[in-house]
Amino acid sequence: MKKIQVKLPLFIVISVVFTVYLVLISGLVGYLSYSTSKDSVNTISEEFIDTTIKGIKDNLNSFLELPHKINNLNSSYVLQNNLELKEPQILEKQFISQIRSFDSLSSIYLGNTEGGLALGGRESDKDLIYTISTDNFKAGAFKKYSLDMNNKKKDLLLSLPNFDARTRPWYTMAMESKKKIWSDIYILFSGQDMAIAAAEPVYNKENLLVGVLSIDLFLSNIHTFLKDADISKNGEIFIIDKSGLLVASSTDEVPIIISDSDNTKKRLPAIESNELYIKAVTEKIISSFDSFDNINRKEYLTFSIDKEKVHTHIYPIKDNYGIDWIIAATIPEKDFMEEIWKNNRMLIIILLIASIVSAAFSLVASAWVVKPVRMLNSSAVDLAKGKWKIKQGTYFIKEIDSLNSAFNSMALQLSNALKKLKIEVGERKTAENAMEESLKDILEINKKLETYSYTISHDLKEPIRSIRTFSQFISEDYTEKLDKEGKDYLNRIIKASTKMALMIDDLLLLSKIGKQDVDFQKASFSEIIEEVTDTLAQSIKENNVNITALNMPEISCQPVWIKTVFQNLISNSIKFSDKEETIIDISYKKLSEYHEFTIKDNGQGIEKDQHEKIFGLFRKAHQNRNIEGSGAGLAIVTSIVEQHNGRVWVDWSEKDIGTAIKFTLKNKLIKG
Amino acid sequence: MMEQILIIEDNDDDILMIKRGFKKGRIGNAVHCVSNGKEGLEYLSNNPDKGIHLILLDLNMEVMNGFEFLMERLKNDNLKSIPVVVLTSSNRHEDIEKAYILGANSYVEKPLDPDKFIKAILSIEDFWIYLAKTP
Repeated sequence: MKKIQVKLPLFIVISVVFTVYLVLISGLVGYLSYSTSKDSVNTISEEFIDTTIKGIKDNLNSFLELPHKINNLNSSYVLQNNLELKEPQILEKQFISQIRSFDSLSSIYLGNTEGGLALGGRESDKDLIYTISTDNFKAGAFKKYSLDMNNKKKDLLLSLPNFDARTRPWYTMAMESKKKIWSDIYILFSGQDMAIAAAEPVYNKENLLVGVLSIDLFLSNIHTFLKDADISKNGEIFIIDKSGLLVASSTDEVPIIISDSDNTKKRLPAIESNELYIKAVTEKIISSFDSFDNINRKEYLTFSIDKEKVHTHIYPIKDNYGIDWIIAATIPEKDFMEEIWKNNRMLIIILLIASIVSAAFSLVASAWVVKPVRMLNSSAVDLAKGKWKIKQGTYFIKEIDSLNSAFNSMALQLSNALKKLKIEVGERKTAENAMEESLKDILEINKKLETYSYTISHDLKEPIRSIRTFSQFISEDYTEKLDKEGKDYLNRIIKASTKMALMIDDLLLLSKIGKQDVDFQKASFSEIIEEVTDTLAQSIKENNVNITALNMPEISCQPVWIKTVFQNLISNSIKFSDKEETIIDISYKKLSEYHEFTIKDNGQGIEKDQHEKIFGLFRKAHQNRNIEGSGAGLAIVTSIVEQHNGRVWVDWSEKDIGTAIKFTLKNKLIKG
Repeated sequence: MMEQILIIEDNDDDILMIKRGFKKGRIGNAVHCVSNGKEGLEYLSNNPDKGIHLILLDLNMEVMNGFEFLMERLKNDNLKSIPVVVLTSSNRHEDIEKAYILGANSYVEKPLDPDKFIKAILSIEDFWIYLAKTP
């Protein structure tokens, strides 16, 4: 892994973490809100279109129902008052008041069986109310007057001869069908609009036709409320009949074609419309359903117009009097997507502002939080530089405050400890100096002592040797001049002086152990034992000694001293043997931390109470004066073994059977 | 009779023992004794005609000890040719080493046992006077 080398301040780290966290949350919220809003806007759009179209349908139904209701009313009115053949003025008055009341109606009229006409109406393009009547309420001259506010005839607008209501399509259709009907859609005489008429034949009690009531509706009214429905910015609604001719649309296109050649007027087929949506949607309907007759329920289409996706809802519209139309509402997807984008733009702006504000806040807040940590840090750095001045203060963050307290107390303790340490170091230095002096003195004294003891023993040896030698000379040269007692005394002098010389030698040896430089080195124990047997060769031969030493190791020790150990132990075994053949068995065992050696003999054994005493200086287990030796041998062995961090003891001993002495040497002794 | 051996020894007892040893051998009284190194040097320079074949040298002596004598001997070619046997009661390792470094021809510790002492003297006589060829 690559080692991180950039070191950032704590407050940056906190701010960055905080900000990243916020941005992630904002992003997540934004994404979720986008995806849900897309779905919901889709749903809402569909619902909106449905609701809008339902409203349009309601409007259309009321619009289409109204004339039939009024015809009903007027039919009763005519029959009750026998108005069908006389007094057209009363009828005109009735019709005009109804025209004034209902904006959507363009004219209300009655044609009687004499061919006469009574009519109240409204001009489609101006706010002009008029009446039309025929002379004597019979077929003949036709006169159209404009009316003032008080329903008085003002101007003669039109006069036509030879009008016969019985020839008009609304009359003939109603008479033939004998029920309420809708006329075909027709273009107004003026060519400015299209209209449809609701006609009803009126029969008297004898079931004889007395006339036909009819009401004209201008289809531009439908255009008006389609336009007002305003389904979306770019959406369009249009209505066609089953022959594919336009009834009305939300566009401003007039659904009438005027032929260039003969100035005749025709209704516009939707497929020939100049309005992109009307033409395209009609084409799509034809291609999807083959015929307009196949649309009997709500249909839904999604397709592209000019590479723009659109949603189209198609509904059939029918009533009991012959209306059989299709209404189609089309909305491009971009209209409601725009809504989503509008929402999301807002959301993004809000999130951005929130992020910026919170990043700024987190910077400030983290700086605020980090400040005490920074102060602590500078205190710690000061402390590390050895500046002991401790900044006091409390912090509003609990943990930091207690950290500060702990830090201060630590600094105080440290400073105190350092002071104490300085004093202690001074004291120790003095003590060490004193100790060094003492050690030097001790070493010097030791050296002196060593020389001294050497000199002493050396000096002591000289006279003893002399005593011994000259006693010997006396016994050699003057033996005939001494009696038995004299000879005995002389022998005692020789023996005592011999023993003393041995003791002095051993003392000298003992004083040397541990005083020389310790030098551990690897040595073969079988070689050491061989050397010992060579040294003791004469004694071994004389005393018929059999020594076995199998599986001896090679270990780190002071070979010269170890040789002394074996020499002492073996010669002890030989010295204290009371058997014909002395058997000495040396064995070795490796313990976890020690090397263990056993020297077992078949000698006379050592009394239990002597087991420890024999290791003391000048002690002998046997009071046999004939056995030579200073009595320091085992003391020397002990001293050497201890030098090797081991110990020596009598492991087993039985009277007349033998003794096993064990000693250990510590593992891994190194030069030191 | 020629004095064949010079004994440099301050201990009369030891001189007596050495002489006794030689008496038992063939040399008998053909020895001369001085009590320190200085006297030994003087004797040797004053009596070049005596024909000293061997010097027995003690180490611990007043006036001039054995080591000092060995050092002086090294400076004199005539003396260097006479073999020196160090005969002393010291068995210190450093003494033995030092003696050889300073040109001693052999080092013998005075045995405690009188018999062994006499044996040692006889061995020296055997080796140095009769076996070894010296100038």
